[in-house]
Amino acid sequence: MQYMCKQCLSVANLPPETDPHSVDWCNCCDRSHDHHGSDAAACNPEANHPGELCWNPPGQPIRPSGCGVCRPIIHFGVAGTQLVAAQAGLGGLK
Amino acid sequence: MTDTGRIANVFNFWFAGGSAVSTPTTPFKLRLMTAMGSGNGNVAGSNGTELTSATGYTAGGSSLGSSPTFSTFSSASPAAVTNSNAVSWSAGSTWTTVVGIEIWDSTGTPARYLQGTTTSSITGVVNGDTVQFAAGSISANPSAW
Repeated sequence: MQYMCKQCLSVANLPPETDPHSVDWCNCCDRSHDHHGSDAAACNPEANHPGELCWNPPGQPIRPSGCGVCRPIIHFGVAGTQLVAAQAGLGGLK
Repeated sequence: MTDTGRIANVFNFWFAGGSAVSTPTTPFKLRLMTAMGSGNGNVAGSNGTELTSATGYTAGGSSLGSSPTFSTFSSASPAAVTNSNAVSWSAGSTWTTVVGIEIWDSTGTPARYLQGTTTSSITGVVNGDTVQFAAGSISANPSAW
């Protein structure tokens, strides 16, 4: 499966079932997650990074100075589909 | 394998006085599934389990965009076609692993049309991540029906 780091935009193809946050493919993450504990959401950006952008609130890909928590990524899904059989009440033709 | 369930409805409408086959209401919606249902080919099946308790994902799925949903099917040379528009979600929490997708229409009582597994489960989605199906990433191969 393919992933992209939101901070540096580098792309990686990882084996199936790999937790992409457990693997380094760029140097944007500190996998120990030890800057603000185990949960990045525990960071108080106002106190820890005054005037800077931070992971918290969600979706912020830019890591502020002094922050080592893992950066958000993009998961690129790929799927093959088949037509499902018509069946009343389950999504068949009406 | 031909899906005889849907084809039978069309043939009954044409030749046997069956009810008119209604046009699906667009846009089609892409749903993320944590467990697959059944119903491929000739097998009348059941819906899968949709992703829940996932901030950033809305039950019922997200639009696959304005028509056409897929590239044009060819009767002369059946081959897989793919989605025309990208769909993405911004995760605001940790998500359960996604193992597949379903594609539904937008009627008042939505109908399921397509389902399939992802080539790899979408796992490890956390707050701040984006889950995206790019244009061309969802295939539908009528020659396999």
